Amino acid sequence: VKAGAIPVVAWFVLNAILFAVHLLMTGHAQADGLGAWLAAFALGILLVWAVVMAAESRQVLRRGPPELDEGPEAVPAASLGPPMVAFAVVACGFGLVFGAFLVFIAAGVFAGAVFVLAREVRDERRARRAWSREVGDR
Amino acid sequence: MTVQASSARPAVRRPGGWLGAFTSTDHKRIALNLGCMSLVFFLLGGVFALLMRSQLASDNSHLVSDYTYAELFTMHGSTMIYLFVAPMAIAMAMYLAPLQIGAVSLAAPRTALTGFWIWLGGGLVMQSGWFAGDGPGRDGWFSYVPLSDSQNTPGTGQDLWTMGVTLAAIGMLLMGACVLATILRRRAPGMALLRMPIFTWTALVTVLMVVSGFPALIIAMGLLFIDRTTDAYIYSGFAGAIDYQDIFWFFGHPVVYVMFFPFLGAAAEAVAVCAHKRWFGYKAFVASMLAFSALSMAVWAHHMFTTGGVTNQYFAATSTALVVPAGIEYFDLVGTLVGGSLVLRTSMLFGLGFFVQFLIGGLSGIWVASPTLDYAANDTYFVIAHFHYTLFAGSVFGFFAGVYHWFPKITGARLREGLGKLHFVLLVIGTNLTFFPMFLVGEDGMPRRIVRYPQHPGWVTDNRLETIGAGIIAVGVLVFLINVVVSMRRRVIAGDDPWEGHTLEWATSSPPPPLNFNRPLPPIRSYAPLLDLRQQIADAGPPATGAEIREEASA
Repeated sequence: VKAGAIPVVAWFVLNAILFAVHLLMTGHAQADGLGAWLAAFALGILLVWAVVMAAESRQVLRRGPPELDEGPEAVPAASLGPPMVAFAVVACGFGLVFGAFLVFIAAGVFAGAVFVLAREVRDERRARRAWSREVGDR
Repeated sequence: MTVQASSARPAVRRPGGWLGAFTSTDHKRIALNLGCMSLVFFLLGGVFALLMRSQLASDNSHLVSDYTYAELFTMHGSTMIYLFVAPMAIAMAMYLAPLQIGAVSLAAPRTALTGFWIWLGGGLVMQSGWFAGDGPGRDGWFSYVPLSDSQNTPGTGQDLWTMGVTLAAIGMLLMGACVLATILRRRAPGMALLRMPIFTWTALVTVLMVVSGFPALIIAMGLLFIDRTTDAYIYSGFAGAIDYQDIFWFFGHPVVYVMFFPFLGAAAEAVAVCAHKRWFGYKAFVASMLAFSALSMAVWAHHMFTTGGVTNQYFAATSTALVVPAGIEYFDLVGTLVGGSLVLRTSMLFGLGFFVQFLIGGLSGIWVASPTLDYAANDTYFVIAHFHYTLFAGSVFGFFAGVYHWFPKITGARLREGLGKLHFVLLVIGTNLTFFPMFLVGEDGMPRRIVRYPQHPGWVTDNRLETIGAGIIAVGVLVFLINVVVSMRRRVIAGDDPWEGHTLEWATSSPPPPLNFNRPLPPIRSYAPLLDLRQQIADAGPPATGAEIREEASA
């Protein structure tokens, strides 16, 4: 989407300026313990986000309103995979406190969740292809 | 699953009942689930607060033990921050931002649904500590080391707390990333960045902070968990303690703004709509939001002034600089009110209450942004008063402004104005009675986190007033819950646009359909497209009468 990455880049620049001022005032990166590294880490996250968006389309760096996207868009109405993944993650965390057996159960549920999600994504692709064919025929 | 394009939308089949509620990837459903669960945690955190205030109603009370009091203040802070205010801010952003930018759905809705369930699981893991033999976490919502290491706080309760916070943070991070991707990538044709509504901008900077600040919490808690369970001595000695605080507060200060910005946006929208005027100084507001949020990423160590381990000058400068963007927002508020045609609905009252009371929190923040003054105020009730004026007197009032403003959109029914105004009055009295005396006892040096306090002139009276105030807040919240129940059972149909709203969510049905919009969007030429449309119709004048049309035709 046009201009999509601009807020991220603007925010990155503001944070980078503050980071530079921090380094200038403290003299060196180690002066505030981990602080400078954390700020650099946060800047890295923003940079990666902006780069990933820009790699998809340079439009994200151009100003202006978004244009109409005519392509079909898959919108899932419901999905069983995410609650299963979440259950696996939470059971794993709980298992790390209470016992390894929960971690094994979590691994099983996670494998099931991956299977469910893979099927959902496959169905989604099929539906999108069918839709494109239908529009093409018309 | 369905496939839709902007030109044609096939019918959507959705599972109903409990299965639908658990597995729906509709952003509105996920946000409502998140908001409702956050509200349940709010009530739980409120009960903890009432127990603490009851203990402090007299100087030598033994209502709860020292140990239980430590558990209560830890779980009160943790519940309110990780399980109520921050997730509620994300819930509001997730529900409203896609509607305001004209998107039909959330980006990566499965990820958001996963995030919701991980967050809820984290909350339950954290609260499950109450059933552990040694009770839940008891080291404060920040759990500083070495207090929270396995030697000083042994037992599974603290482990569960650490794991619960980690999971809750992962969940919020996932949901925040989805909202960010939605705002950046899914805006409707014509919705340029500088046409996004005020609330969407506040949501955008909020999720930017979530994405760049929350990983620090996950790292801090993950390392603490490893430290506790394997005795790895990651946070050992003075340097380890400072490192923990650095990592924690790198999350801990931005989260204060995560808990503030969306409610600022909600209050601003409510005020602008009730003033029948577009928000004044839009571009300055957007610039101030970006500056405010960037500065808020650079002030984390003002929580560590007294440790001697950070550069106080830099963090004092950035903390004081926050008054500039905050001042712009207040200037914009005044500009919006001046010349407006004000209607004092409940949402407007809460919006104004937000701005007035947050001012007290903000001004006291300038005091504690000074290291010199902070050395005196650190670890006293003055700090408690300051952050409760920002988080409760500020954010929670902004939250209620948003609830009264958007409840008709979400449910299709109006909340009762009479009960709403009673709720507002009780909350204003309760809030100020609870938190203002904390400034006085804090200035006198009453330390925070103490279960009993020494006899000191005025302390018992002030603490008793605070306890009465907490009770009034509880009654106010009860009135709100009654209002919701009454309004849902005896519905007063709101219609699609009961307040003459300015933004796109008011251009769809109440509640919105599964893919958000069931009719074409109005032209988007500014950040208030519906107001533009209304003004355009008004400028065109009244529709011509039949006689005038006939006269024109014959001529």
